[in-house]
Amino acid sequence: MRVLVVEDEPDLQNQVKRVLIDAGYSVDVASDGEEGEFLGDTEPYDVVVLDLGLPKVDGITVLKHWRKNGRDMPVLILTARESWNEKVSGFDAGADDYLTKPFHMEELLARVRAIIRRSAGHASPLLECGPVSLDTTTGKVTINGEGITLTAHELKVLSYFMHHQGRVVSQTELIEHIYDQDFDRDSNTIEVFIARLRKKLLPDLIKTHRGRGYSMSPIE
Amino acid sequence: MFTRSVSFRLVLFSVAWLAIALVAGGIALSQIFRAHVENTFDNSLYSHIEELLAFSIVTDGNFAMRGHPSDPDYVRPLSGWYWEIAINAKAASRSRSLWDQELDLKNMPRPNLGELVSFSASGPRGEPIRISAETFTLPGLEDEITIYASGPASEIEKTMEEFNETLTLSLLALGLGMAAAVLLQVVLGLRPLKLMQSRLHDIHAGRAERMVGDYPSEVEPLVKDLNILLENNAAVIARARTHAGNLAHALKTPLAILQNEAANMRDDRCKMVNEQIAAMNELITRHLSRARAAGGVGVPGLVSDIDDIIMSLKRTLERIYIDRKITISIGNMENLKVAGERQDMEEMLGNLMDNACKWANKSVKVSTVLSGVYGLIIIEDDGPGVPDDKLAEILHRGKRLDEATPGSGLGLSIVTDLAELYNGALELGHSDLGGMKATLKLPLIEGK
Repeated sequence: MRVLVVEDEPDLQNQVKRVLIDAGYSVDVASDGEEGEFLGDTEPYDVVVLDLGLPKVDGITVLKHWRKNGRDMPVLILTARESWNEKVSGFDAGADDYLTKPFHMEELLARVRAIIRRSAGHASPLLECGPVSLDTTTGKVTINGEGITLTAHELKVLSYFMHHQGRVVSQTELIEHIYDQDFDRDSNTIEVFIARLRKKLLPDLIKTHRGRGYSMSPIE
Repeated sequence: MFTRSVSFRLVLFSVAWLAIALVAGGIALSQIFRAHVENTFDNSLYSHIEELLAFSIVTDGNFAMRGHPSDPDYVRPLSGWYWEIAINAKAASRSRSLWDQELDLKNMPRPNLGELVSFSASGPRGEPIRISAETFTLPGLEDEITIYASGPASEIEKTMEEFNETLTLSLLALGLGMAAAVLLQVVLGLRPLKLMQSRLHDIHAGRAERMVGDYPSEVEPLVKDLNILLENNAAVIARARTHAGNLAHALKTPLAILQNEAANMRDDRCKMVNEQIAAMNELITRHLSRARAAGGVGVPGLVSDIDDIIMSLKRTLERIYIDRKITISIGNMENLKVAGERQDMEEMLGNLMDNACKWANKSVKVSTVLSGVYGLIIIEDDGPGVPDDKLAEILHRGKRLDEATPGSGLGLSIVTDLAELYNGALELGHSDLGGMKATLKLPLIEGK
């Protein structure tokens, strides 16, 4: 899952980035509204953490531009502005959630997980696909109730498939959502991860659609 | 109270001045007319004197009259019309009308030769008469003769009475007319002030933001200055609020960084730092909301549409609580309009509705009711509710009923603060839905 963090305060930006990376997300950062808007327009993010008081272009304007351009990725507003007036205008501009500073990192992570889950249409934090289940809160994966240990990248790939079950996901899409902007992308590694997941979980959990990509559906 | 009224003063001074002027004018006119009437009367007497002179002759060195004026008034006894010709202050001849009396010549001025005098005196019966007299010399008569002719002063008085009556009535009518005109002018002239007063009242009641309308050129600058003052005032408040807001927001990001760093300290210090950060955050939040509200209270021209605010908060809160599927239902709505800053109303209602959503099981209900000059906004939830003995406590400043639901106590105490600033009140009770019922009472704008 790829996250864009738009925050102008470098220390806070680093903290949020670090926590999100630790939680298994691929993170891009932007330090002003202009850069943030550009990244949001051009990269496929699964969630955006957006500050409102930004240099160059303020957060609300950025968000409105995205929504006007049909960018519908979930956006979590993270701001010092806590009045209801500002919350209302944040949600009306198209935000999916609103968190005020100061905040606890656990709270931020919970909110981020929740809006990713919601945007993929899942009500419960526990995602299941046949015998495989993923607790999005803890990142714990089980098969038939037995815990399985996955590497960070394997977990990212599995998580993306679990969120988008029954849909063919191309390699490009997978790469875009798993690696951050600066990562040296190599499509071969995807094949490696998928092979490892098939081995660790079930051989035919992830189907290959030649020339199109992969899909994951509950096994009948 | 009356003496402080400009209209009263204007009318009082005008009417007083008018009364003095009219009375003085009336007296002057009356006197001028009297002089004229007396003059005319004297002239008619003088013509009688000339007639009498024509009758006067000298026979053998003695004064004699060769006839008497034919006027019957001089014959009718004691008619007031008399004549008498005196030589050396002794009557030489007199009119029949004097009967056996004489004019009291001793007490009358005796004109010098060729001099005509007129004066008022008393007749034989003591009646007021007007006398003209002139002294002549007759050829062949050694002594000078003085001819006195008189008429009743009552004739003059009668004319004067008639004149004075007419004059008084005319002046009275004039005075009343002018007083009415003064009154009208004062009322019309002061109407722009009354208009200004009512416009200012509109502003105070929140029906207008600035003074509008056409004013006379004398009042226009005042209205302009008032508008400038209103605008300046609003600008100063807006600036102060912006600064307070900027300070608060600027502090929150460092607080967030501190809090996140503290989370890495795995000992008691972390808890302590977190507590201090939470305390600072609450202080900032509360004082920001109060600074904002204190600026908004009493600012003219602010009206908040409560229904609109409730609907936008419903929209927002249903998204915030989307995971818990809380529904906010709208009950009775009265189209409330409250004087005050929209942000403050949003803050109060937002905190109350948010609190209801936090505690609710599935549903929250919002309705509004009119109650005299107040509008009541009632927010209910189907949550566990609050026991009676805790209701008062929950309203208490910053007191949290449940530490596990952060900020709920602070939210309610902010509502209490704001409601007090706006001359309203917050009451908590039990809802039929099972949970808490919060009733926010706010004064309506006047005339709504």
